[in-house]
Amino acid sequence: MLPEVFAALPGAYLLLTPDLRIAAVSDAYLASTFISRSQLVGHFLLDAFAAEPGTPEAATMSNLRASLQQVVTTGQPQQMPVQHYRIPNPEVPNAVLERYWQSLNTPVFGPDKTVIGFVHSVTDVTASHQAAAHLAGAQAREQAALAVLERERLQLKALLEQAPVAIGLFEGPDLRITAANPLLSAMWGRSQEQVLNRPLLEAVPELQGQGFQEIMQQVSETLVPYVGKEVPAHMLRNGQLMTSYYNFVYQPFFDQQGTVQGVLDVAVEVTEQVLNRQRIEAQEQQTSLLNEELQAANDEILANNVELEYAQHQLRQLNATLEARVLERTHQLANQQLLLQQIIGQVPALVATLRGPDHRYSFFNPYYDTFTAGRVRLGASVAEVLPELVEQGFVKLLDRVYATGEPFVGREIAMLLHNPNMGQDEQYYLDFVYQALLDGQGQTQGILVFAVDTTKQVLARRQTDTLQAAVRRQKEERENVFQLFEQSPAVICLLREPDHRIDYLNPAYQALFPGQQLRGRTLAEVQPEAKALLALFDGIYQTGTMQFQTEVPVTITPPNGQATSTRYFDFTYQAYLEQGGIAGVALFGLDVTEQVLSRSRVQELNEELASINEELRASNEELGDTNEQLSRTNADLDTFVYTASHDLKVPITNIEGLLDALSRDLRGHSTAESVPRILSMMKESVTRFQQTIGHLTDISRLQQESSTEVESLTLAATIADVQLDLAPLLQATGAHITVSITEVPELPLSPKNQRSVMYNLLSNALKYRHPDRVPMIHIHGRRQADGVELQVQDNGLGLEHWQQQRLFGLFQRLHSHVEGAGVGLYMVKKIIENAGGNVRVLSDTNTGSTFTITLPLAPDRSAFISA
Amino acid sequence: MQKLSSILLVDDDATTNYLNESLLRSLNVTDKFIIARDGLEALSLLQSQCVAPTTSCPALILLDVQMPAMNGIEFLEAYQQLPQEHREAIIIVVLTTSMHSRDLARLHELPIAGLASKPLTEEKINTILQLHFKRQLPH
Repeated sequence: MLPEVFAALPGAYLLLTPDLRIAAVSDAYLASTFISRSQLVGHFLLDAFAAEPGTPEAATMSNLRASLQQVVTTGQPQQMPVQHYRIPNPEVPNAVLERYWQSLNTPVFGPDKTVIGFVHSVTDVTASHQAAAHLAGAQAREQAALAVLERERLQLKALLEQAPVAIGLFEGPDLRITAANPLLSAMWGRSQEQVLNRPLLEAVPELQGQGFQEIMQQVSETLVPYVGKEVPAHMLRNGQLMTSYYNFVYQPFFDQQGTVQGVLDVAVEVTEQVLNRQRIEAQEQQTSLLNEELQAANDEILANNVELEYAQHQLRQLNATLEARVLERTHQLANQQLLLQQIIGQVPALVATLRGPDHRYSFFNPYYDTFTAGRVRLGASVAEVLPELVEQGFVKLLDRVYATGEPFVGREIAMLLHNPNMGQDEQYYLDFVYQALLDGQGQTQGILVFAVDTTKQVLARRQTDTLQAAVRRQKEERENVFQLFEQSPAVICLLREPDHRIDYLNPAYQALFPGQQLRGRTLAEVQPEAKALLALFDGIYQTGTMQFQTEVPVTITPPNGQATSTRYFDFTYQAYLEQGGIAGVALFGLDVTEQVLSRSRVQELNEELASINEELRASNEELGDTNEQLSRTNADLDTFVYTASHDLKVPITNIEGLLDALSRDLRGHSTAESVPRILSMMKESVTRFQQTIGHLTDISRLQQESSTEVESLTLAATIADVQLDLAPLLQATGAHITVSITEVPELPLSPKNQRSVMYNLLSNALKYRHPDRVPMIHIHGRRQADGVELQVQDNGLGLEHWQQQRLFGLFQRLHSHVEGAGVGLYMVKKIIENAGGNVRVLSDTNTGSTFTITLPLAPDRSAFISA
Repeated sequence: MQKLSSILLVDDDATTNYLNESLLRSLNVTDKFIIARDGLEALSLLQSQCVAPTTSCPALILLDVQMPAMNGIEFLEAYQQLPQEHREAIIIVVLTTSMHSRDLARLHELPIAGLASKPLTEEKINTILQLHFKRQLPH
């Protein structure tokens, strides 16, 4: 009966004699090794499993022999470490199957306590061994990945902290601030600690009613990014609310599953620019330009998002694959568990048989004994010896199996066992089977308990899960920070090491170098011509000093030969710190192209205006000259008209008065003798009226014909002619005239004007003679560098100073005793001035007057002529 | 009507002086007329005749503006410089044909009682008498 029972055991067992001959083998053993019973039973162990020296199989056999020896020596069961032993593949000739085995060698004692044999039990642990090895490998890789992610996370977090643009993340309906870099909290006038993890309006209450949280909520709902340009905000500055201006972008922020996690805010304060621009008059709307640019940036970001979604999809597929593998592994474990369930006796599993409805121990193996710390006794019930299992429901499970005959299989069931040595309960996880033991009639008479302690695996897996969760969480966190930079409109680049190797760059930075691979290259490779920039970076790397460059032109060269474009940036370079030391240089750039262009447009306009102003000023000067000339002419004309009208009115007024007097005389029949006198005076008035009209006609003719005559007459001839005209007066006064004009044969005037000038000067000299002196008149002509000078000197009455001022006025008569119309000298002056010359008088009441005329040789015909 | 002591007519135009004198005489405004042909002549007349206690100083001066030698405005500027006793109680009325705005503005700064446009008429004389001598011509 024994060999049959042994053969039917549900585990893989060999029964060995003390001289290591195989006495019996279980069917399960044959099944797992693909060897027939006849190849084993009766053979020596080492013959049956002969192995090539140097192979794992040879080592296994050597270990087995040593272990059995140990069993003999100690009399104790001997657990062997997992052994590598390959078996022939029954389906493929000359091929082997990889197998790992766990073995337990248990002594079988005779009545005299001597070893009469060994039970060699083996368990195929290939699956779990490989799983464990795989798990260990995975853990190592995850640890490594975690280290990389941690480094990147720290790096980006430090960048976030040091960034010169304000960056924040707001989550949930109350816009809880889950990220805010120092610049953003400084914008709010608060510390990071004051705002982090608080709802926006609770952290920054002054924003209430300014509309920002409504926009954020809208962005979060519609997923449409919001771009704010130069938006005024009332912020706390030094404890006071001040208006400042911001450029910002609110955009939906997605987590790795593609669901909206919150709203990302990237903001730059532009107060100074706005105020500057408000001072200058900006004439063009720049908003549309900026919007277009941001739209382009947005398109890029959207494209990025598509890429990220694709990556996420791949990750999900990978996850699915991994899950399938876990399922498979679980299935394998379940199989293995069924195998274990069949093992009884001295197997590395808890095996016991219970009898009767109150589950009294009829068998338990040593392992079971050890596991329960020696508390179980044959014949005692489970509830008696392990009372803690009652309240954990195990006894009820046993009751049910006993009642129904259905087996119960538990996987990784938690169990608290009391450890009397430690005085406390200990946590175990067990895979176990409660199987009904049936009698010949199929009636339940007991329960087979078969359990495997899986505590270590469970704990290991839990640890793995925890580890994986930590990796996932950190990856998400890193992803958040990463996205902050990826989606930022600011240009960001991080260069490490003394040779400034580009370690990180965001898409905005990449856009400056379209089509170029940047990551991993040094600054000198990317911009070989920028020596000064290289020196700047060296300086920052060595000293840690922050540097700024404003309005730097950046030429963007598309790779496909399209036209280059230039944009302007304000750059900030700062040392990037890691563990308190300088690890690299961080570059932040803000696009200020619009400001620069608008200012240069204003400058161009200003220059244009300045040159127009200059032109206007020149033409104004010209106009001023003309205007002055016109004013003078106008004043002349004004005086002329006034004087002419006065001299025309006087005789008319006289005639009017004389008519009144005449009618009065005739009415009164009084003085008949007065009538002829009145009539004579009327006639005189009419004559005077006609004379005045005649003078005015002369003057207007003079002004019309000033530049037309061409004939010439010598000055000497003219003077002789005039002397002839004045002959009666010359004879009457006995005047002497001397003429000295050899230098000036001719005045640059028309003969008629030359005569008019000479007639007036000579007749005046005679008319205003001194009563006590014989008139002496001297005419003297002199040639000068640019013209001629003619003097007419007399020894007459002379003129008072006030008279000299009025001398040349129209209808001015300075002497009451001499007849005159006050026209002569006016005409002289006009003739001389029209010819571009001038006339002046030097006079003394004791010695007489000297009239001096100067005339240019080439009369300036274009000189302004009053008409 | 009580006659004025005397009237000084200052005009370079003999016809005008004749007409004014004959009109004033026919209206019995005064019996005594003094004629000056320009400002200088008028000024020397005043200096010789208006020194107290003589009473031949004119009560009224009818002054032309446009004159040779010294015109009406120059006369008034010089008249201002005369001692107070030469100027006492003399009414000066300026007779004009046409006036330049520049001269008109200057006249308003000078010591004249009024302006009258030429020719002088009975109505104008009556107005001068009423305004400055509290008397009028008989109807």
